[in-house]
Amino acid sequence: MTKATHLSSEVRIEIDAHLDEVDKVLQESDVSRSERRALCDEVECQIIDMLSERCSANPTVADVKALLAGMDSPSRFARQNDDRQLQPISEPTVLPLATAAAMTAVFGVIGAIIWAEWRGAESDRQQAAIIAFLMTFLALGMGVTAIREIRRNARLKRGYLLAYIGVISLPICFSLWASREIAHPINTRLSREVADYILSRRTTILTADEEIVILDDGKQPDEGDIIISKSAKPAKLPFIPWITTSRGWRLFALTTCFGPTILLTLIFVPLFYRRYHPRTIAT
Amino acid sequence: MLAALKQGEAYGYELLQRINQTDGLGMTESTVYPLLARLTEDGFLTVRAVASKSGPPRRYYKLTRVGRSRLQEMSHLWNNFSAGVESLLNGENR
Repeated sequence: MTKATHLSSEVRIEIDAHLDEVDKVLQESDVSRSERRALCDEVECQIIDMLSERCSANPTVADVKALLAGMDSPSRFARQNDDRQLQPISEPTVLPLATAAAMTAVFGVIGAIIWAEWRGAESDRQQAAIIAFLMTFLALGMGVTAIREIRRNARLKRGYLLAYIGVISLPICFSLWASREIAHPINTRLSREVADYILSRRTTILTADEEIVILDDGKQPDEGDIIISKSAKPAKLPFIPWITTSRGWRLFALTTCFGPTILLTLIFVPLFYRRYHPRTIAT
Repeated sequence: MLAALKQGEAYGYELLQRINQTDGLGMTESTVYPLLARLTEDGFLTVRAVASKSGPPRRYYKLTRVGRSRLQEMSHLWNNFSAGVESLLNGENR
């Protein structure tokens, strides 16, 4: 604890002149107003403490001048401020929040899928979809926060990739859901069309539950052959012959299922990249 | 700076004295105060302002959880670095 010091107006003027010089140098170094204020307050506290330690309760201008002569000149604050350009001696570490965002996204979706498959009922599938959406929404929030944090401490933190996984999980989850809810019915209608084609050529129906049809050659279907429910009622849709080939059918199914996912990812990733990725400044 | 604050909360000049009382270390205010501001901005320190009778409020700095974690990382790096230099100076070859 330092003793109370009374400062005369002459002494006060001397100290203020020094502080004004420090403030001016900091201002020229583009230091923010709040930081300049904090630094000047620190210097002022130090001057007052040193005066109370070294001088009488009523220091003179000479005392202050002697003390200021022993301290750093205001210009040294500018030089020290340039130290902001220095790099840390350690490598940046992965931000835990970025890892958490990626894990929430991945395990949230996987957990929801396992839950849906395990329970099987349609209501459980809806619950799983809600869980997946909540988890990916959480991952989105964590991912965006992580990106902002990494951007703020780019010298110390990394983990953009993990954070982006968290960010894009929601649009991917949404597009997968859309694929199921929108593309699947379309596929189903088309599969009925295919069924119509196949059934017109069938020779044998093997099972009572009408799950498998045998193609014209009478053999059991191989991997890649179209296996479809006979109970699916053929629809009168425009028929595309190449869909009847297994390769064409798979390609069509893949496109309709994953097309929206790829499209949304292509839209969202550059959007977030531009918004949050730090700019490279040439030095 | 983080290591100096490991001993406990301190205001700027007190911290400066704490560092300068350590053998082999010597720092001045134009180094310490901007560093304190930078470490606070980076979330390694928190600041508590306490009113003073004879001047501006004193700013007491304290390590945050992130600051303690950073100190641990830096200590580990420093120990490795120091051990490496020492082994070179002693002519040891791993």
